[in-house]
Parts: sequence; C-alpha cells; structure tokens
Amino acid sequence: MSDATTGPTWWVAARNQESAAALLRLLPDAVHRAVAMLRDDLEVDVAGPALLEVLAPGDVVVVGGDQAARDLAGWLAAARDIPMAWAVDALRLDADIIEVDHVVMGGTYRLVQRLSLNGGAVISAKPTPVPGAATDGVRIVEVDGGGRRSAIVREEGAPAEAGGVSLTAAKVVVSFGRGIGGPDRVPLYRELAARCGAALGASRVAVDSGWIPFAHQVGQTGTAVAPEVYVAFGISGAVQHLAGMRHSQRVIAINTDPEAPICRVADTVIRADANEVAAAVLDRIAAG
Amino acid sequence: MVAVKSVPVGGGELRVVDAGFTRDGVSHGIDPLNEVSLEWALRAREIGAVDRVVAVSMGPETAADALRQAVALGADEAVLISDPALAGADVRTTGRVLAAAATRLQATAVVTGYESADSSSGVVPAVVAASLGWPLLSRVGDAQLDASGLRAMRDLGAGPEKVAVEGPFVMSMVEGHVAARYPKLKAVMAARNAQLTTWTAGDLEVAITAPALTSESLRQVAQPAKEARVLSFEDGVAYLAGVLTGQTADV
Repeated sequence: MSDATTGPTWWVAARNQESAAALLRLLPDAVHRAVAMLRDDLEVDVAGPALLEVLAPGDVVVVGGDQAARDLAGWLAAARDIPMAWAVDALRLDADIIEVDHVVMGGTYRLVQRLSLNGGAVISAKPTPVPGAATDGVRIVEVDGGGRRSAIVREEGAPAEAGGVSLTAAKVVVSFGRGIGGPDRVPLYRELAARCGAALGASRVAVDSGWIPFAHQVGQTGTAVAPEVYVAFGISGAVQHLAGMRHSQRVIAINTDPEAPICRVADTVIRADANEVAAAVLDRIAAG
Repeated sequence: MVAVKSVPVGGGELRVVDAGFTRDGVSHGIDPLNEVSLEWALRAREIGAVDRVVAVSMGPETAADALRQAVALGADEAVLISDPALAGADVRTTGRVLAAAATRLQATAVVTGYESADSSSGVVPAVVAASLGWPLLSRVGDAQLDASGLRAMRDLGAGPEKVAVEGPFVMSMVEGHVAARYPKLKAVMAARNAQLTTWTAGDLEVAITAPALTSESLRQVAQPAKEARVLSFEDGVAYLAGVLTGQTADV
C-alpha cells in the first residue's frame, strides 16, 4: 500500500475494526498509515491524553462522525492547536495540501475545503460503511488509557438490546419515522426487524420524541447506513435523514404521501398506511 | 453559562453564493437546541443548584437578537462576544473564545446544544472542555445538579446511560427530554431594552488563529433522478414480504 518513507503518519482513531476499515479507505494512497484502536469505553478526557502520547508532531488524525469521535476531534484540535475539518466523505493529498469534500445540506452539496498538511490536522469523516471490512495488515496501536481515570463516572451502563442487529453491518434496515403515529407502534417494527434479521432504524423525529434510543437514529447526526435494502416506514425524508441512508442499494418507502421527499430517493413506493403494511407483512411472514 | 448561537430560523436555510454560504438576508434567531440547554439551566437556578444563568454568544451584532430571546426566557445576563477579528472563526477559535468567556464569568458549568442547527460540527463543546480542562458530557437528555455534583442521562449511540461528575463540567444537550418554556410577552418586551454586555476578542485575551480551512468551491451533487415504482397496499405487502424473506430477488 504505502511506500512513503517520509512525512507524517495518518492515524485512523477508531473503536472497532469495522469503522477503522471504513476510515482507512478514505486515506490518500502514498501516506504512512496506522490505526489507534481506542478502548470502547474511554471518555474523551482519557482518550485524548492517551492518544496524544501515540502521536508525533505533524501527524494527521482521522476519526469517524459519531459523537465520541467528534468529541475526540474537538479535544485534539484544542489540545494540539491543529485545524479540523468535519463531515468529510472524501479526501485527497496534493503535495502538502489536504483537500476534503465536506458534506453540506444533507449531502446535496459538497464544499471542497483545503488545509495545510504542515503541523497536523484532525478530520472527522463520514465514510460509507463497508460491512465486514478489515484493516488488512495496517499497524494497530491499542489505546487503553494507560491507567488514567476519567472525571466522569458511569453509574449505569447502556444495556445492549437483546437480539439487535448493528445498523452499519446490516444487509436490511427497517426504519420508521413520525408517520407511524406514536411509541406504542414501535414494538411492531421491532418484531418485523427481528423476524427478518434486519437492523431497526429510526428518523430523528422518532428519536427526539423519545420513542426509541439514539442508537437507532439513521441520518446525518446518527448512523450512516448502506444496506442492500432500506425500508422506510412513515419517514418523510428530511435532508438530515437522507444524508444517512442515501448509499442504500435499494430503497422501499411506505408512505401515504407520494410527494414526500423520501419517495424521490425510493425505488419502490408503497402508497399506504405504514402500520397497516407492517402488520400485514408480519402476518404474511408469520404464516410462512 | 449557556452558549447560544444565532442560526437561520423559520425554515430559512443558508443561501448558496459563489463558493460558500451566506447568512445575509436570512432571518436568524436562537438555535432551538439552545432553548433546551437554557431551560435546563433555568430549572437548575429555580431549585437553587446554580445562582446565575448567563447566556453567551459569539457572533456578529445581529446575534444580539438570539441573546434577547434568552433574556426573555429568563437568563440573568447576556454577553455578546463580537469582534471583526472573529468573523469566520474556526471551531477551534470559537471553542476557545467560549472557554475564555466561561473563565471570565467564573462559570462552574458550560451548557450547550450537541451541535448547531446550521454548521453542525458538533465539536465546539469538546474544544471548550479541552480548553478549560473540564470533563465533557455529550448528548445529555436531562440531568440533576446538586451540591454533590451532576448526574446525567446521556446517549452516545449505544443507548441511554447514567453518568456522574463532580466539579465543573461542560454538558451538551439533545432535544426531546427537557421541554423549553415559552417566553411571556411582557418579558419579550422587556428584553428588547435589556442591557447586553459586549466583549471583544481583546477583552478575553484569546489568541486568534487564522482560519486554517479555506473553502475552494461548492458543487451540487447530482441526485440521480429515480422514478419510483408505486405499489398499492395489496401489491406492496406481497412485494415487501417477498423482499424481507429473501424470496423476491430483485425489483
């Protein structure tokens, strides 16, 4: 891959193999590359100083776009006094200039930005998820915090939802939005997703309304997904949401309003009530 | 200290001009997310957990309107940090300026939204935390503050979790848990004449780095025009059941 013998190291800082692999794919070819694999539960006041120990002056750090990654990016930008770019989905290296594509307005525009490679930089990226991708022989440095203690004490962990399928790894995502009417309908979609081995997604409105935890949010500020099939129940398709699912191979929208923005990115629109369709599909699957 | 940002409101979006966006000609107001963090701070004051709530905004003079909204909602004081040298400030500088304001105000907590409604970098709270050396609690829905410290419910993506911290902190908040109050008409009228404190970058003694990120060009991404096939309820159920059970291979 890299035959560069000089120049800074480009570090991908991630918390799991899959996101490290997706971020590595964004890096320019002829650069030194390495992965800083952060222990999953590190708070930024531990992860930041621990990562600083690994970095050499002038190194570039590329992180993901989830909140823990954004926190780390901001922390590093301040602590190292280096510039930062965010919402990046492509980057190029031209001599000592880094050029990035910054996703704006829900992915409808790309703002091309430049920053100097000299002195280092931190880049928060939104790569296209690549289910099952590996880091292929790139040097991995484990960052476990080195015994530092965070000022933040976790009193009650986030319980993993039993049987849930990871959004980024899923081949099929079943998502719902405001159009399902209320939180009492959520179990219907949970069951439908479980029945067909799909991950359960939701729009920002559904999450902000407290119907389902943030972990399920698909969109610019949630998880970006790229499944083979994306099924959108009662989702209008705000740019926020479209930004997180536009890499889906096939989109099926269930909506009573064929003019909803989601229908413009859909391959198939089922013009009907989301809950009625979900219930009927579930019945059909149950009947074999 | 509650960080407030003046953002485009009322369905208005930033307008595209040449290689970038402009705020000119777009109506602005307080970021709705800041109303949530302000509400949380006001409630903390009402139960005596904090003495004073100060709304702080860095921005052009027009950002005063967002601060007046914060005063109308109940902020004790509002500070506008406005300086031509800060125009186009990057996230690093923005975070440092807010951190310097917190220091000058002798704040014990900085409360923000998790990202702004317009540029949405979501990193300014972390810059503030790193600059102050304070712990950062991100994406908090609601939290209780008392003499023993802060207990917060946050969700970083793996589900809600309870966390606690003693001493000063930076907290970014999400919507959906704390409902913001509506301002009283009388308070809105009074806020129009409220005295805002104005600081410059020099007042805060912050080193301003030239923005290191330059915008080169802006291009619209071609959205492939898809002509969706529209199915009725009956056909749709049959099709979807087929896809989800893997029996319908394609189309």
